[in-house]
Amino acid sequence: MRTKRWLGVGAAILAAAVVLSGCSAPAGAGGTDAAAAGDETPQYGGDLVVGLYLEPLALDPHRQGYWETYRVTRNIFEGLTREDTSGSTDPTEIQPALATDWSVSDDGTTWTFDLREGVTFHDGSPFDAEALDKNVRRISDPTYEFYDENSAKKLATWFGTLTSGTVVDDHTYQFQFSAPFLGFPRILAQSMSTLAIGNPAVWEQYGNDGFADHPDGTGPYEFVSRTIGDRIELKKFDGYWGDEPYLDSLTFRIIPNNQTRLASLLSGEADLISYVQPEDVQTLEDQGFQVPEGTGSSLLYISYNFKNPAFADEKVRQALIYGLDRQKLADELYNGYAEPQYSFQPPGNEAYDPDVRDFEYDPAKAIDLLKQAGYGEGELKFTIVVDVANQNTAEWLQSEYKQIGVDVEIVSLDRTSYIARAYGPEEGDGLSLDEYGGTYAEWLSQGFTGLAGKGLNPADFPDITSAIQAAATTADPDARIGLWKTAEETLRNDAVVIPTVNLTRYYALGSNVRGFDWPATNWYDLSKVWLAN
Amino acid sequence: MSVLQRPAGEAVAALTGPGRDPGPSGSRRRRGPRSRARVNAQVVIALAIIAVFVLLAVFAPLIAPYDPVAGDASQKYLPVGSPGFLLGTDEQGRDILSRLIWGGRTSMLVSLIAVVASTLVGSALALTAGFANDRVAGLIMRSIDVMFAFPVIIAALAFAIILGPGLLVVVLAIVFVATPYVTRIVFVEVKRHRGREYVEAAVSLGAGFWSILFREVLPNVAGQIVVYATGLVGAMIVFSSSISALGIGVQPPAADWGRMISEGAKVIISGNVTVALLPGLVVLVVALAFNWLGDGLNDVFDPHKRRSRS
Repeated sequence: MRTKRWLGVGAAILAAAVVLSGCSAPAGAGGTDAAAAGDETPQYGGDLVVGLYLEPLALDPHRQGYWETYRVTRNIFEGLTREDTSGSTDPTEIQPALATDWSVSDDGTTWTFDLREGVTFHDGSPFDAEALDKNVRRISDPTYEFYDENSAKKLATWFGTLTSGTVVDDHTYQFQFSAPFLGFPRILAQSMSTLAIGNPAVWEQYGNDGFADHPDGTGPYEFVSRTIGDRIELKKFDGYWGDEPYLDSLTFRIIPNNQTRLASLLSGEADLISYVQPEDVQTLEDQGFQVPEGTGSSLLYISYNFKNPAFADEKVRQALIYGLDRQKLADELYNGYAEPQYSFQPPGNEAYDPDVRDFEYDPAKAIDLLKQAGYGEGELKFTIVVDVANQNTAEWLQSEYKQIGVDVEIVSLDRTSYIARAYGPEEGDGLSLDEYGGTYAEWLSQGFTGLAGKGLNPADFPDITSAIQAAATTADPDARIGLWKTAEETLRNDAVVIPTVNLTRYYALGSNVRGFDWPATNWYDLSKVWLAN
Repeated sequence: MSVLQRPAGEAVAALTGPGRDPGPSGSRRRRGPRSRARVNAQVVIALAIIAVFVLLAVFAPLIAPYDPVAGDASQKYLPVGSPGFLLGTDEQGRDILSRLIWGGRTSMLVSLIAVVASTLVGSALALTAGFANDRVAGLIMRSIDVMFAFPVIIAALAFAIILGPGLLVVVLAIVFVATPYVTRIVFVEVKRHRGREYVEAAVSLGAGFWSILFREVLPNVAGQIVVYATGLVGAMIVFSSSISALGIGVQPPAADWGRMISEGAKVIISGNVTVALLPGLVVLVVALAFNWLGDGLNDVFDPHKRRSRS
């Protein structure tokens, strides 16, 4: 009967392995005081290993999705404009990139860009107005042989009103929109749904789907190789037009498991990781790792399932905001490494105002509003749907809402199932959790569209719709930000979303990494990063 | 491996009387009174451990010092031995001791139900395959091969999509995983017994198909089945944890040992080892107890011994 006994021991070892996996992580790469590195001379050379928390999507400038993708692709592709990523401006200042200058017509519909001369793609072919035109046609002109419907759909958010793109001369290009679009230069510096510049010669040779296997742009690093599920390798582009980057090569490793990613940094395998967990910040700092402070430009927010009749009543929606102590959430669940958010515009955004308040914590008022809406204690019941990664937040919310007599059930799903369920809610579903944001005031429009995707009918909120429309299409540059602030206020007063917190620790770096700035964006600039010995 | 690789030439012994069969438990039967006592002690200890955890689970509402799902997050990750929280607290500030006591309800019950179900299904399939013609046997056993090869996580996700996440998904996933193993083990045993003289003797005495199946073969393989199934319980408690960790099993905030391990795993590196270690140890102890029990139960179910005692 030895067989059976070994089976038992096997089960026991399995149990032990589950517990102990991770315990064997090496105990840190040692700590020097990295902060005291300000006056060192930057050194050239070396390979920086970045631990990503998820697999990037296609390395294609127009099919961009996920910030982790952009943290890779922004080294390969550039836009006409870029943001100041030094961290010294908030909101980020817009700077010239592939365009040196730009101007807009008085009616706000025509943008003219002067393009930088002497810029080449990684294969040596020149970047000029012709190349830009092919990029524009790829995403907007169905008569172009390499028109990419997939990209066009993604970029329709901002390029839907583009009526024509015109090559004025070799280094001048004009965009014509059907409505005023004053936010355009800032939009051009973003990651998703915008126009980073790829080398048209590549899609002409490999086709639109083949581009991502041979990504080619004008950026400081060129593509070397990609192994799905493992890594993406880039090397310095010798013909780069701008300042020479310090690092010889960049390796992006895909390490989805939070503990494994942390261990890879602790063991010195990785130099930079994203999505640091609040529980690990102290451990990292104690061991000499850098965990920079910042806000990025995003927020965690809770969406209502508007298909659930309970949320048609504004009082119920307000009650759920009054009943949520966001400061406590930031302190308890995120160990204080988060800031409460009261506005749907995230920090880092041009129209963000840290002083606005929606329905500040007042549990008595919440209970009262629920009573007015016809719900006594324990009578309002719904399900909160979360991605497994946010399960702890859901559990916290559950006990928080219990105190105002709301009975919450949790459904915690894997990422894919979560997306499906959040956008196709079942009866009884109440809330779901998201994280998003951007450094441009127009983000509010994207955020609102996202809420509509979860069942909000824009026709039920004509005041929000018209306020957003007014802000998006104003031709008066002085009024633009004010109008976005008005739109935010309108949206806030209607209680259509619950802003929660913004994480203030997100990246962690080895003690020898220098020159890393965390601007108020959702990405970083590796061209200024170098490795000390 | 001794069971599966035993040479086939023992049939003569079977004819000379059941007591002489050096079959599955032959070696143990030759142990003296002392080793028999050791086996019994093992069963007693195993039963005692299981009884303790079952009683804790049954009387959880009376025993657990706190509500297992209510916590105060300002008291999170208190270490073992903190005043008022003997085994500390988890991320939501919930009492780990209370959650361990309540967690047995889902963890043990789900695994037990699922293992019993897969044992019944697997044994039925194996008995059918063992006594059916080659075509039916082939069909059953090749289907089992397909189940072996099928990625269980995908199956579990499919169950979750159809039924919604919950305990039933865990039960079905365990049945899906365990049934092929049970079927194959029992099938081998049935095939072995089918050729034995005692079966042929029964046939020649005019015993019917069902009689042979249930009166002759089943009692001879029951020990194997029980031993294997009890061993599975522990392994399946561990397996259920991975299902719950995917988000398709036991839903938060319910206490569940597997879920506690996966929730605690995220703070192991930052030093809060006990959050995952404690439920891990509980699973380990319960899994070992079930294995000892299975091992010991083999004697009870062994037909030779039972008859020789009578």
